[in-house]
Amino acid sequence: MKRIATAASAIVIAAIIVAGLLLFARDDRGAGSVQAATASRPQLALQPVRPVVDQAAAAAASDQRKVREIFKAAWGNQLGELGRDLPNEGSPQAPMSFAVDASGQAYVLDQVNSRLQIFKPGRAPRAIPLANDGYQDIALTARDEVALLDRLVTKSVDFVDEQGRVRSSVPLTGKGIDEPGAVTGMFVQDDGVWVEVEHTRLVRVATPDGKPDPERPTVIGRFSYDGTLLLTAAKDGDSAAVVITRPVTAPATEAGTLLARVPFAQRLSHLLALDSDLNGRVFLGVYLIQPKDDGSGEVIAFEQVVVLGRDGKELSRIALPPHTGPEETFRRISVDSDGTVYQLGFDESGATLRGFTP
Amino acid sequence: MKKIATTMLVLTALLVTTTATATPAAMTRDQIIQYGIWNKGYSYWWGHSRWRDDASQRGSCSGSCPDCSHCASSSRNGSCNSSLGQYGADCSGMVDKAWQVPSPTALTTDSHPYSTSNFRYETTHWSRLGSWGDAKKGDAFVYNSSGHGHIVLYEKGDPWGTPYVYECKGCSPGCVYNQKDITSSYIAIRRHNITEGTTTTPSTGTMKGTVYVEKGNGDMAARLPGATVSASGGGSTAARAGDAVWSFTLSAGNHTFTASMTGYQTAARTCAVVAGTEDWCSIGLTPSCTPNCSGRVCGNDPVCGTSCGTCSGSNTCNSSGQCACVPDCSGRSCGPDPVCGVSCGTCGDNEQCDATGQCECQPQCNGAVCGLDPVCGKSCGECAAGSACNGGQCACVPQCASRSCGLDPVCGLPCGACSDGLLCDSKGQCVDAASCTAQCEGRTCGLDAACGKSCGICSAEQSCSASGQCQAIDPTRGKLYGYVVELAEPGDQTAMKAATKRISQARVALDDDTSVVADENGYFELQVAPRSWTLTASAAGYSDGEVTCETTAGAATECYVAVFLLAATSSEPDQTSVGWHSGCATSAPAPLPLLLGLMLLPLLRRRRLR
Repeated sequence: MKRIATAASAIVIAAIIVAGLLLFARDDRGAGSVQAATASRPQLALQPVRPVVDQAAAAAASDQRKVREIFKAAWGNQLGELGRDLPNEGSPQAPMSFAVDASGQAYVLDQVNSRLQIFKPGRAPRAIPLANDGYQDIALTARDEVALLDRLVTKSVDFVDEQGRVRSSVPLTGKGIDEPGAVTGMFVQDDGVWVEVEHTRLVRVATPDGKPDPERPTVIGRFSYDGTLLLTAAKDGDSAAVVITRPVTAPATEAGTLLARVPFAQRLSHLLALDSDLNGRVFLGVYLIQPKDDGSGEVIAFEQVVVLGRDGKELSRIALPPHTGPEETFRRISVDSDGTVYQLGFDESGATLRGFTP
Repeated sequence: MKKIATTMLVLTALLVTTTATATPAAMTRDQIIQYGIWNKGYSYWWGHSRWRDDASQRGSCSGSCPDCSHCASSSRNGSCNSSLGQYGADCSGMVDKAWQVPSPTALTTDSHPYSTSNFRYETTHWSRLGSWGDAKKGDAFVYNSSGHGHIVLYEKGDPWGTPYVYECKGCSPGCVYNQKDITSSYIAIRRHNITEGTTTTPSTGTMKGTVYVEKGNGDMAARLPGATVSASGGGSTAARAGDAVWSFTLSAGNHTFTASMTGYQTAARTCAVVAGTEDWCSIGLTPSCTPNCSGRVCGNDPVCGTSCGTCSGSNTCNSSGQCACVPDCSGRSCGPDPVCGVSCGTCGDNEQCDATGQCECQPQCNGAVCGLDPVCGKSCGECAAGSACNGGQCACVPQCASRSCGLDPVCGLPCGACSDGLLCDSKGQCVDAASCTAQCEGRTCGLDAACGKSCGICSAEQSCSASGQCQAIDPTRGKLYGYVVELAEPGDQTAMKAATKRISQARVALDDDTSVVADENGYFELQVAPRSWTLTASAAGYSDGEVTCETTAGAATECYVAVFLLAATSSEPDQTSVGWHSGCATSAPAPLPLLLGLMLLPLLRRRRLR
């Protein structure tokens, strides 16, 4: 018995020594964890993905005619590449957010490389340098400026021009926002910049010219594309979500109207997106999981966008490549005015922006 | 420096591993979270873990993990500012401390027993959750792969299910509290020996509310008991009777409450449940649409289709939303229905509703007493035996069997005429006038019974009695006498008196249906009341003639009447059917189209109304 214990201790000690040597070896590389094109890339083991079991999702996924690739960028820090950070004992991250303007230009928040990169089909990408690497969301304004959200470092919304200069900055904390970490989105409207708190309410923090809004009004939900409705969504149990609408003129205390209850075949982990288009269609992005039955605690992931009609009737479901890497993102799904669903997806080689036509 | 730190980390891990079999001290979930709350705002310090509960001396960090420099400077490019402190943690160090594994360690004591690799692949003081979605407050999400790893402390999910976590992210943001997108790279783990529910701080709160009719003005008086209310993740209940109050006890955090009821639009609200408190989150339901029952007491309103009321008894709701008796007109097309007495319809002209509600054609007999009416073709009546219908009137049917002339014994109608030189005897046979011997014994006037010959004619001042005796004219009556003559065309008395041919044994009828037969010389005589009389003469082979004469009491009135040869009138059909009139005013003959129309009327009857 004593021999067994001694042997076991020796094995443990040996294992720890090996682990320590590996750590030394890693440190000896001397490179940062920002994955540059010239640096050796860490081998991220992606979770194996089982075949999609949702038939509707599989059907949508198989319809390649509805998918087009907007751009594909390798990981790195050169122009046209996007930064990914996979630290040891820290939060992994990749481009946190993106936005597509009316001309089809994609603005990608490459915060790992402290820059915005702008991709337009047929043109070389260009970059706008940023002084802050803590931004997590981006929104395009009507003033040739970009609104950038930093909810954790500067806790502000910064308005940056084409040269990356911060033209104005608006604090997040204040009326309607006690905890900047609870901010879940940023939206530009004609009347100013609104930030979303807890996926529930909007607080207008900035005027259209980028100045702090002295009133900071609050509304319940997100604005629909045409601005007539406020949309909210919530999990309803573990396998369904509800979408609720209310007129923009309705008082915040008034209950909304249930637009739809959307059931799912897999367990609903969390919602990813809630948007609408010019035709009044509502788009609900979801992250679904299916626990593996091997005791590992691992899950298989699915991503879907459910398209609802103006009347709440489900029109279609778009199966998206699920994000299975560890990188934290803030907004990886966006919908434009004609209902095209954009997804910024990641794999070991880089990031790809795809457009899905519902 | 970094190597030394790493070595320290490994050695610490070694010491911990040798004591890993011990159960960690009991903790509540809130106690775990409290470490996260204290940790928020401290700097990222790779390989270390210590912080304070007063949010002071938070430290600073620069660079990127794991090569970042803690308190190497107060700013990114300056020297270390010791006034910022030397506290901080990395992600796994923070969870080490929050979980107090493997054993209780002071908050301010720097220790880092486990890395993400330990948390991800070992289960010494924690276990993997079977389902990633079962995480509770104080559990952790961890990923580690190929030398990279991260771990966060889970507090709760927001309405989207997005986790709120405490984490030490990296140099730039430091240790934060935020909502974070977790992916399938992570697994969920739970510390051993968490004492559920023993904390003095409650983890649940109560949310109550009512379900009411939303009027848009804050009026919540109209309650909707029985409405179904569901809470996200908290089941469902029915709003109780009376005040429609519902209640859920739920974990702290935002919950969506959805109320639904037939006839109303389902509505939902998201309200925050605060641990240890009771809050209200009433839900107003808007009718599926606004009913318009104006002017209606029953049936469905035309806008929403919701009920405006119901009818009692045998009444039913009509299309106008009024309770009314519903007529039962089945099998009826007219007249009152047997239930409500309202009309089942009306009949057309010349129709009448019968007792069974059917429209029946009404005969238009217009004075006819027999035959078929010209509208419906129905009988106007039956004639008695011995008579037949003629032109809507019952007329006696002459019994001329074995008779070829004279009047029949039943009706007194002519059975035929004898040719010139012949007389009709009493048996209705034409006999030679010369050979027939008159039987005038005892008679001085009138006709004999054998040959119908004249036994004599009285003077103008006398009249012939029934026994064939001339006598004074009855002073109360008048004598009407004259001859039946043949004319080619209508003429007055002068023309008739000038006529050369007199018609023997012609029949002369009065307008009171009495008649006499002229003698072989065409003479006739009648005793009649004093008035104006219409005489009609008829004879075989002739068309009838008519004349009007007026008699005076106690006096004789001479009155000739003419008949007309058929041959002479055959080319004038309009006149043959009705005869010629003379003397007094005559009525106009009916035109042929009118007669044809009357004959066709039964075929043109209106269809019965339904």
